[in-house]
Amino acid sequence: MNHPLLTGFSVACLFVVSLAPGVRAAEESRHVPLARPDGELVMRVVMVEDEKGEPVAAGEAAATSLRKAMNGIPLKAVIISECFEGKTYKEKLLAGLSKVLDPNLLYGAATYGSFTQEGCTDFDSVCLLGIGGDGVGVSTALVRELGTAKLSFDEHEAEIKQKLREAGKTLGGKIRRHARDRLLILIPDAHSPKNRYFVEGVQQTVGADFPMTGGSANKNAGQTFIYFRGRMYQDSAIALMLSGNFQASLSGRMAQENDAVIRTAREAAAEALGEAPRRPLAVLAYNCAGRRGRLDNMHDELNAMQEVIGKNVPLFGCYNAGEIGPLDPAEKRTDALCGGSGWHVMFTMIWQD
Amino acid sequence: MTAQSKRHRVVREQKIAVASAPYFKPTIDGDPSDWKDAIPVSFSQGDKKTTIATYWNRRQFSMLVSVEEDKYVPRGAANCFDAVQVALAPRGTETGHAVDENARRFEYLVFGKVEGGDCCCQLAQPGLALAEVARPRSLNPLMYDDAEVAIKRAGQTTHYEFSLPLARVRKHIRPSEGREFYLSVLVHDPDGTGIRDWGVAAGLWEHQRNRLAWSDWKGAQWGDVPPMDCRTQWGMCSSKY
Repeated sequence: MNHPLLTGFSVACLFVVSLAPGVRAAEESRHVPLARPDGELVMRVVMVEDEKGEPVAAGEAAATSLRKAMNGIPLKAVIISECFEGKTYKEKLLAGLSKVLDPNLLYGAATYGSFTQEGCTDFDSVCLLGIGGDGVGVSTALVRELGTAKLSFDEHEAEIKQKLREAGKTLGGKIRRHARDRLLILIPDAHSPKNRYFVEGVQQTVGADFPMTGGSANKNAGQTFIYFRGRMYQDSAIALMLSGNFQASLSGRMAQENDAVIRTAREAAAEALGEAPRRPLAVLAYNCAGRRGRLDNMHDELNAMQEVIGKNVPLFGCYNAGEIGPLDPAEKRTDALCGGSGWHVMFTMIWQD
Repeated sequence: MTAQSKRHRVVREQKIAVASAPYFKPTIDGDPSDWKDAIPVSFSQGDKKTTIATYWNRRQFSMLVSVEEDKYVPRGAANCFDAVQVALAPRGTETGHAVDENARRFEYLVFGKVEGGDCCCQLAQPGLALAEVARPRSLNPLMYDDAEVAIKRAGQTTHYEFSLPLARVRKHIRPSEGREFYLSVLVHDPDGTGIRDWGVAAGLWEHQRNRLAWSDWKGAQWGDVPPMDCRTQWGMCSSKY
């Protein structure tokens, strides 16, 4: 029956169906351009521990504190490291953050805890890295349905490698590139050693020598979530490409025993700092939760870092299920600057030209 | 491993068990279906198999000990009864060899009662005199109601499923991914295999047998030789995925 209304309805449905992939693609990437190549890059870090069981309030407090720390400089991205228990609490935390900050700015993952110049936290805490200023551009991308969250290496090694390389390549291809791209931050649901293959995939599009850092999300049952533009995802990965007039020096070290964890944290921090021509404006440290588990005193590793970097530079640190960056000399790749592994602490020192 | 000279060939086999507890909070109801994401270890005595699976979370350490046996005997059904005895200790500590020393472990006994109800007793905590540990104590004063226990029989297997609160333990063993500690298990099957000792299966040496490593209690039936030390290596991890 050729009724005009039905025909119009059919056309509308066809339009919606054909638009849906485009809509989804738009939701899975975002680009905030670099406004001024000689502009300022500002990075600030805040951390809040929730001792009252009130994640909404904790999120609001952290977001308010970050906004204050940015001192009027507009934010372009906020990276979250949080360790609240269970999906409900994590949703509430995001809701609290979104009361103060535009949710489109919010990226990150559930981790095993965080550390800043103020100390180390584990349970029920949130740490935020604010990235802003007209001297930085941020391109972000999300890849979903990695298909590997519930696969174990023992039984599914070949499948894991194939799927994660593919996903990494896809993610790398979604990032809008800029001539001044300087640092790629990757946050996948890919517990070491899976992260190795994910990084290899990304490098197929971004290049083997591109500086990258990042960490894998908390893999405890019921806790694994990735955050992209304020929404929660599982079995996914995100990328944040930072562009601007700044440089990054990177280092990584691996250890599994108390004394070596402390020593390698000091060594890696010193190596990264040694390559920076001036005092860094921020330090990122993607660390392994297993390293923390081997410490007699959780704060000893942070103290070692502070011996090198001092106590004034903003430090964004988090504990992960796999780390991305330059591998320890014992594992170093000859074919790429960076890789994905475990038991590492990965430092990135950022300074402006 | 094989070593060969011109005239001799020596072969030694060593089996290594991965003993790790992933993060999870199981429902303690005797149903083993919650445990598919655990990393179990198994050993056999005669033709009877025992499987030990563990989980941890912020507040509890949970275990499923599955005991293949012809018959399950709860307390009260006979003079001696079936039970699972568990010891947790911080890494780097030792058991002690003299009764004037103190225990450096947490120790529990899990069993059922013929009149119904599944129980846990706390047999030891750090600081308890080993002289007390060595004495066959009555269990009633040692009941530990904070533990959750469910014992269910399925076919030829008795499943002991229990969760131990970490509130008292965390000062000594801080729960965290990557945390290493000691855990060992004895299964009491007096009408069947006798004592089943994970320490034997884990490969402890004969000189590591230590009567003071395990609390005595009324109703226990011990073998001719002391059990192995209660310190075999275990760890907490995030996930097997």
